[in-house]
Amino acid sequence: MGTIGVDTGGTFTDLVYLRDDGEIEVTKRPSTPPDFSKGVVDVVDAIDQDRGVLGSIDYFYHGTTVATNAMITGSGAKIGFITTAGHRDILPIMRIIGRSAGRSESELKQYSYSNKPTPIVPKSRIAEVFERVDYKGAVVVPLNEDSAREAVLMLKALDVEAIGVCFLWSFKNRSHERRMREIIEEEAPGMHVSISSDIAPAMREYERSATTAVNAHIAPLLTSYLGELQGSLSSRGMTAPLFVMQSMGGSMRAADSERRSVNTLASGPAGGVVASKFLGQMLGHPNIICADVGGTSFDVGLVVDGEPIITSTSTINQYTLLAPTIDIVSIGAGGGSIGWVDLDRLRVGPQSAGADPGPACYGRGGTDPTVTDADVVLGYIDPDYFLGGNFKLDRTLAEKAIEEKVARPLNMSVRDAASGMIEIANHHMSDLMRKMTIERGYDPRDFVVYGFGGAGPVHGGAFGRELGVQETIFPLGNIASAFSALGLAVSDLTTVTQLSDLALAPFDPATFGKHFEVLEVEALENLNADGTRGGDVTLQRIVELRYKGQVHQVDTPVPQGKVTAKLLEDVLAEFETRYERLFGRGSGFREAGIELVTYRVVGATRVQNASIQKVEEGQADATSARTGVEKLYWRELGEEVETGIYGGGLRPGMAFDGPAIIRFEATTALIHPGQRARMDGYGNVRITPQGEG
Amino acid sequence: MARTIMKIPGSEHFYSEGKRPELSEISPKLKVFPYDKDHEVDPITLEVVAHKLWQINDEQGQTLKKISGSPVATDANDFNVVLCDELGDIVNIGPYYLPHAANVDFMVKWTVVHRSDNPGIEQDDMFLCNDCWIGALHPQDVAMLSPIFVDGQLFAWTGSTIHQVDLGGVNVGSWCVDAEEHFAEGMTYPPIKIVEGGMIRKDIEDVYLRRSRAPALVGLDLRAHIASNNVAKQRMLELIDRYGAKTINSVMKKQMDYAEKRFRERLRQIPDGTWRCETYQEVCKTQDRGVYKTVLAMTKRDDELEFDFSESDPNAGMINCTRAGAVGGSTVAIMPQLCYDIPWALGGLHRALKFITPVGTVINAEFPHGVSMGSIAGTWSATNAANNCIARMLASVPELEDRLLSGCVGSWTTVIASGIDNNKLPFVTMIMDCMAGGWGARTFADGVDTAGLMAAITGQCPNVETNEGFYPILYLYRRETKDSGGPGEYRGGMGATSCWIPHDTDGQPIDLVLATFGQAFPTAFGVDGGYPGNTAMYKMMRDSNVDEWFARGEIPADISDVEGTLEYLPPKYETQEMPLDVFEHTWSGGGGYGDPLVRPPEKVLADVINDAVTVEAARKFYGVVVANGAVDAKATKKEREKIRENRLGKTPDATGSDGANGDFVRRISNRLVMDAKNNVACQNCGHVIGPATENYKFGLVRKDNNIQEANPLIVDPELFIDPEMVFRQFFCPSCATQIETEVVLAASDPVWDKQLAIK
Repeated sequence: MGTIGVDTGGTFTDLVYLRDDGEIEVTKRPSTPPDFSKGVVDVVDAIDQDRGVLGSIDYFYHGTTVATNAMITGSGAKIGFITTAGHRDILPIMRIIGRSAGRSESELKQYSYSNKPTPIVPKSRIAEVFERVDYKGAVVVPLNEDSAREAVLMLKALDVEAIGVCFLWSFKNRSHERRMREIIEEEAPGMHVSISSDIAPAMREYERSATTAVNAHIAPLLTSYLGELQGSLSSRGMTAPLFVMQSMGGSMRAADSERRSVNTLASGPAGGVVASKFLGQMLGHPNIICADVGGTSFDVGLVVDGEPIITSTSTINQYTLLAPTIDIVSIGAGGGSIGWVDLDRLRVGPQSAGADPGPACYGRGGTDPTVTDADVVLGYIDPDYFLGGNFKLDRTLAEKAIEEKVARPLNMSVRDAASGMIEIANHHMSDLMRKMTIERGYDPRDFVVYGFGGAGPVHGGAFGRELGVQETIFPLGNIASAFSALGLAVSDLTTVTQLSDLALAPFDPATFGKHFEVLEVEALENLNADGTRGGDVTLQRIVELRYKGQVHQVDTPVPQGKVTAKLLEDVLAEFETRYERLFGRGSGFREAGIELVTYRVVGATRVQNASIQKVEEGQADATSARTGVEKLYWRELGEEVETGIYGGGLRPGMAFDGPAIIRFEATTALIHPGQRARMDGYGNVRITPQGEG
Repeated sequence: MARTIMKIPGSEHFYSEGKRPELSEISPKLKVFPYDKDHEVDPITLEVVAHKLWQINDEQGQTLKKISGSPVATDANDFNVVLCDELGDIVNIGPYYLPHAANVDFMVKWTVVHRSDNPGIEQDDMFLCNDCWIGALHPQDVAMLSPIFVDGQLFAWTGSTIHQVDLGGVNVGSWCVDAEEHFAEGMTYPPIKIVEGGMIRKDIEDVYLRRSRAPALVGLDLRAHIASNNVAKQRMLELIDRYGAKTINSVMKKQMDYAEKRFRERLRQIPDGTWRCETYQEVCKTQDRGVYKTVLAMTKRDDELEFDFSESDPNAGMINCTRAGAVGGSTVAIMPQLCYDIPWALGGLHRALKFITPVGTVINAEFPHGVSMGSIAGTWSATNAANNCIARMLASVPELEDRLLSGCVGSWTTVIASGIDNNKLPFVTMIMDCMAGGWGARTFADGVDTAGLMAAITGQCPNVETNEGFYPILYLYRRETKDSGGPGEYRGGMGATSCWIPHDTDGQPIDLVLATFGQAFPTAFGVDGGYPGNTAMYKMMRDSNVDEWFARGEIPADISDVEGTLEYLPPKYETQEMPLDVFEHTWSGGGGYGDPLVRPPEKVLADVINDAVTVEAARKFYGVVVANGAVDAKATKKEREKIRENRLGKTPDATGSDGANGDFVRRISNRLVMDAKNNVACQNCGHVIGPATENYKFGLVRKDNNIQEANPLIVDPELFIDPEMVFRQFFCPSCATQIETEVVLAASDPVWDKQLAIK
């Protein structure tokens, strides 16, 4: 009984075993590139330990970076691509956003180093076919079967392993693409085929082509990876179904991965947001800023009204894909961000020491001072108890790096330089979180912050205070570092179906209703194909609306039920409300006309009923968990003060005031002066201003 | 018939030079926040607040972009947002359309002087302005200026600029190709208080929208302006509340000081000297056949950089910009190549820059000469000139040469389409396909194909489906243009071509207004012996038989494949596209870097396979013979020898492997060096060309070619212009290396493009 979630990260493969009694077990093993399945099997063996865990579980969830890595290294299938005559260059041109998508402003200002990515399919493997459909879906030139067959033979002769197809306006009229697929199957039996009207039937041919090409590129690899993994797990006695995490924060059956490989891209950061949603339901937190602080990157996602915020596109390796994704904004800030002096000012990042050589204190040859070095110098991180003491850090090297590269050039003490670096890094993080919430029309003060990832609890107290949130939480204490894997284990089975059909308000209720019926049928098929047991299905209707002429759409929910003129009027009103929330009162302008672009259905099934154990909170006195007192410097006080150090003995109910530090095995939590920490019944460390908790 | 354009007495009043005003020029009614130089800010707070100021700008830009209904704003990113100090010096500029860098500060500086008394500048007011002589690039660029007050004192300004689809005038889209003078162009508004005490003045909004052919879109953009300025203002006030006005003020000043200091340091890395360029625009309005030059002499002295446009031609037709355009256009080349790692706090950068822009020229028109194409004509031409000089200047510094870009996207190829859209409603739009311009080659890599504009850090071209969904057109093709990237050791990036027919128009025509330059000759220059990119082009095949193609199940691959009457449309033109007319437009790729004869043949082959270079061009420009999908090595060697011989009219003496030896103490470019006695020599073979006190080009073998030799895509220039243009090549007399190329009027002397100061 129970559920396993395994998350393959860059350095570690994390496993969370969620037992039916709500107990959570966590195991980590090194990742094993390039064959990541080995690391997965290693970590599974480690938890199983002949206890028969694998044979007893009900569900196995996996978050894999196989597809993402294949994209970045170009190691996916050698593909061919077929498109409408005259439009071979859709992919090479990349609508020119391929040069800038996903790049930071500081990178983009360096024009001479700004490039498009290496193409996943070169021009020589893109074939054109005579066919043409117009904006209404009407056939202008029928599919010319001779030219279609020629195209397949041409690609076959180039030894392609998979073929993607995208014709103009195919989302309005799928017949040419479907016939094209039949012709490919006739001429090249056994070839993997991705057609755009299946993969992403939405308007915008560049993004649809990119999504289709990427799916064809990664599907063969992902499918065989999951097939082998399934084999290994079955041979170890697992009978539970295998699910794969998608970037939109739900999972899909491994068997569906061939058709929907593209949805697994960038699923890495999604787990933490899903786990936040799950924990938030238990704690009664509808609005959460999810802050994942890793060694080299800082990822922020949002849960609003109990649901993660989703965007309809994602960016991978500078390709823009029509793959719904949890809206996550990242910056290269984290423990590895490097502090440096620029004339007379102190800067932190965007350069990072990465995992290798890593911070100076790792002793692997790094000489640049990082934020982690600053944490060590100030005594926040105990060099002898990093990762439970399994990884010794060298404080002298950290001090040397800060002294040489920051303190001396700025004529400051090492202590001031270190605390300045941390202060700047914390502000960069809180600025990003603020931007993330405010740009989406929300006020951070209506949120709580969940700070997780290896360095989340180190910095969370500071950026939570800076943002003015109600509360900052280090979820599940020590488990904060494997929080993403927990998200896998508690994810729903989800699917998104969509369809583009431009229309100007007032919309026709009959067409509107018919489109949603089609999408809902398709969503149910996706969810129930293997008769997943239990759980109730939820279907959410969304339309993307905008004022006529705009490019940016606003997702607007559509109530369930019969589509009437009244309901449509309510939808328009809701759009304008949301619009004004985003852009300010008076920004709406109905005179321009309201345009509908895309219909979307998000379907979800709760497959398991996971919960985590809650124990009665005991005494508040935390003295027994205190392992010592150290004199540490706190920037906000401007001096060194007695700081309580707490350890693994912390129990639910215990509470204490900052300044204090909790040294868990896998992470360290800072409780700043003026803050109060309390461990709740789930083992979460909750930070509130003193006097409010 | 041309007629005399009268000088309007009193028009000098509406002229901003962009100079920071003196407090004495401002009405005492307006209290200005005093800068306390002694106010200390520690380095950590400085960094923390500077980041927050940057973020305010970022948020302002995002807000504007999401609300704007103008594809010009949302796709081309033809807008920008800035934060200025109390008197208009720019502290931050957004990563959008860079020439707007100049507008807002010019306008704020004029506004504080001329509006501080009457009607007065108060908290929660906003001023709308599109007056080119006060700071707009052309009348379509509307700016909104918001003062920010602290305790009744003017503390800062935030502003946004958006290109509007139409503000009236004699031609649709306000690109007034038929205008004799400014009075026939889009309506001009000197700073007017359109928002008073936080409320839109309805009467003024009506005045503003009444003159547009697209009032709904312009109205939406007005809200984008207001909302984004409000966001920035609100965030600034929060920041002031938290850190104190003195600290914020001080950080703004320090941010500019810092940028200035870093910029001056960068300039000191570069040898002193003068770099010159002549670049051209043809056809100043419909019916005209002239050629107009923008001349720049850029001089670097110690830590200052001066841009002198004095020798440029007098203003003509509608292609002129004003001083704001010349300054804004130059910054497009300055910031990405010289300030790639320096904050774009222009208020600081400007202290090390000087611009000389005589009134009455194409780069600084006198009122009321036409300026409706200013943003992409005079301004663009200033960018081409500045880029030309800066790229060559950077080639003199080994540590900085990797930052240079050869000529990028020589021109903007405007297509304004109007008619009845797919919803049977009237539409006016600018087709944004030519966002996909090619960038110039680098010293270590080819230029990026279909990369974007140099003027906009980011941007996008619309999907074909987006355009077909909005407008009654059906594309036959859109593709990268073969041979559009200038040949070179590193090839220029390709531009592209779009071709469509009207679709579902019920027999109604589509009206087109066209405005470009660089059609009779290329304007994306090559560097260090690279060739220029292609030319822009508009073609119309009238009364085609494209319907017959469709009927037999085929789609033509090229406009020349269909039958009909082919017209090459002039660079300034208004026309109608009838149901069977096929319209094609081609825009510019980037210039090449270095002599194409040294490009490795395998790379040329890859370009042929990738349809970037034709087999014919591979042979002609690169000397690479490709047959049956492979390089014929023997024939290639022979071909390259033959080309070298043709260059000199004899077998070259030097093979080029000798190289310049250690006697050469200074570097002029990647191809030229200088010895201790100030002689210039070929870097490749060491041949001494002549004394550095005169134009080195006189010591080279010079070849004047028909302009069509510059690129395979150039058509007969006599279709469009009267004056003769030439393509010049300059070769080392000893090793035959192509040292430089230039595109100039046949009557022009060789341009002394790089002249290091003699030590």
